[in-house]
Amino acid sequence: MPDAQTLAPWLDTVRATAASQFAEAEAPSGVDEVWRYSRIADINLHAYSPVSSDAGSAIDAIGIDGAAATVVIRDGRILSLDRTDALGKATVSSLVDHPDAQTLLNGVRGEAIDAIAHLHDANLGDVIVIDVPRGHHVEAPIVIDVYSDVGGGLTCPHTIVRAANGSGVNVFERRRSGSASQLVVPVVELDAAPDARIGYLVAQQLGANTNSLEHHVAQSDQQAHVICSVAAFGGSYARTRADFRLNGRGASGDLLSAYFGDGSQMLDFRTFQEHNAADTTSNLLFKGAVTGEAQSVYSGLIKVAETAPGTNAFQTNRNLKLSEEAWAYSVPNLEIEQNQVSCSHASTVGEIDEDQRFYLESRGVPTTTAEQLLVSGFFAEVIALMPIDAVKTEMQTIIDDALAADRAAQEG
Amino acid sequence: MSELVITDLHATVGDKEILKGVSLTIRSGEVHAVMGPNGSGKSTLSHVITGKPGYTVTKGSVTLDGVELLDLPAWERAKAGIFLAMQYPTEVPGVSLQSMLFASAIEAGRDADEVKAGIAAEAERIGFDEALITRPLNVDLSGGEKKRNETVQLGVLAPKFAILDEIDSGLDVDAMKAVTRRVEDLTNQDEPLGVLAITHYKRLFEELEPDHVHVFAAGVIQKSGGPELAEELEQTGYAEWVHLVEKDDGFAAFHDPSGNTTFAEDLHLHEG
Repeated sequence: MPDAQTLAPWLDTVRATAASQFAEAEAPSGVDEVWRYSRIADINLHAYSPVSSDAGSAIDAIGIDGAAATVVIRDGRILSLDRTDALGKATVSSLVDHPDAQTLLNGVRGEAIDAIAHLHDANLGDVIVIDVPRGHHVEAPIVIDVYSDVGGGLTCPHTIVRAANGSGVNVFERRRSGSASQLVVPVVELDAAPDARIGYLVAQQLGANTNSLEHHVAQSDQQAHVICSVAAFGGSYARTRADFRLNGRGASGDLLSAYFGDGSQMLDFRTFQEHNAADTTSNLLFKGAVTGEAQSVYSGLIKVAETAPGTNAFQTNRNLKLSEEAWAYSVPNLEIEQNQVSCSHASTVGEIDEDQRFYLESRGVPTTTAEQLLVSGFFAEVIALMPIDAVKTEMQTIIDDALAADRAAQEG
Repeated sequence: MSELVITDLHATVGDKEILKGVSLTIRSGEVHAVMGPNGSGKSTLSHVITGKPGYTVTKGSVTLDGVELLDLPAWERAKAGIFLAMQYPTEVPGVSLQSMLFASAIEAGRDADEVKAGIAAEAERIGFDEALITRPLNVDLSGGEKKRNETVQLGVLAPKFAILDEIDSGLDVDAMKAVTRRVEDLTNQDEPLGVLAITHYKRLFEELEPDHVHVFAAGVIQKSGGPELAEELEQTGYAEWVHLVEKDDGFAAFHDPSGNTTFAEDLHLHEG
């Protein structure tokens, strides 16, 4: 596989510039609203070193049967890239091999917004570009399997999905890491041209000693539809920020998440639903559970610009607190500069409903099984809305197993 | 032949004693009606027997064929053979009738295919829409559908005893007939069901003939008799017992933690 560093001098410049900007940038602090409640203050961004391309972290890839393409990334570098005929005219490539490389990189995200973005740019590994031409639909999912396991290591995966006019694509990304203490700073850019459709799902299954600072940026043009979803289970402090921009008239999309936190981990989500054009619609549904001493943070903002009459924006965050010591923070916000809008937000933090549990128990369902059914049912709603049908059962099973392990631990 | 024996049962909610010494024995195939004014503690009796959280048993026992139910968690009581058809069946988003009954069947060592066939047969029998079997339990169902749902479960789980808590509330005439006929059938099968039917109105008995009628007020059974007692109550109402409850406990006695019952409803008794 080509090493990006040797083939693209312009990319070296990007990295070098970002490195000097990172050196001067102020580290994010818990005082900023966007970092409130988070553990960012405990993480020294300077303490990690980029993982070298020969680090040799190995684990079998987990693909999807019938995938249109499967990319395997280890320690920030492309280990393999398998394409099938199902891709048709769509391409999956390393950024440096793409003719539009320089405009594609950070084309959706834009300038770095904080020290973490500089850190990401300074340590970019191989960037994956999925490019779907006009009117072309890739029915089978494209899979990216990412893994690293180097103590004190830093990896910065980056995925760009560009869907041209009237095209459609589904992308599934799986993020894993070993038990080594490490930092992962991924960026995902989703760009949907008019009438295009992008379905994106990332399964965050990082190791318990990995900190993660992930950033998703999506933009939808006229009548485009984007589903940006996160199933988050692993990590020590694992954060996902999503900037969801509806830039063309009639654009719509869903921001979805299912998360399950246990042990002492913190799962942190910040969402921005930015309505910049008329008649745009965004639906956000984040559902999570925390147990043990885990914590979750959800903070979301619906922003409706003056240029966006006829906006429909919905934001729902529901949390289940499954133990005494677990905590879930939920902070929804609205910022509206337009009168002709329909917006709502709702957030709840609660325990398993006693009456629902009793209803199942009164039918002879043991308490633990009843709780599993209820928690599973709680998540089923949001998992059903996610793209990538092939992994939905797996996502549900991960949650079921995590709950079973938690209940067994509590009983034992 | 099975026997459900309730002996001198006392129970409290918070500081308030709701059950004040209830004794009652039900045998397989018998239908016992417990009738009384709203807020008298009828629903509490059903909840305490089946192990709903929020109640403290201070005295007494409930045994099923000699096994003390009060020592068991709710699900083991159900497994032992007690079924509660709820007055207000709980909506359970995300869990279907089928997945709940499968989970129950696995615990009971029953075959899933047999349970699946059982659900279909029971649904057909009482006119429960088959499409609802795999939808979230009780969510967006009408009152009639909810009670049919409870009855499907009763048929599939085949308990030894069923407690029907105001199964007639929220039912139209057709649903009422379908539900009560099915229960009546179950009391006449080879291994007959024993029934404790808690109700406010005699109309429940048009299809489901009670063997014994008990007037329940102020946390105890005030009077027991045959079907004629239900007739008598229909004529005289609960005035006698309402007065007794009021004198004993004051208005607060009418607050039932399980339902929306109010004292005012009692005044409209005869309209039912």
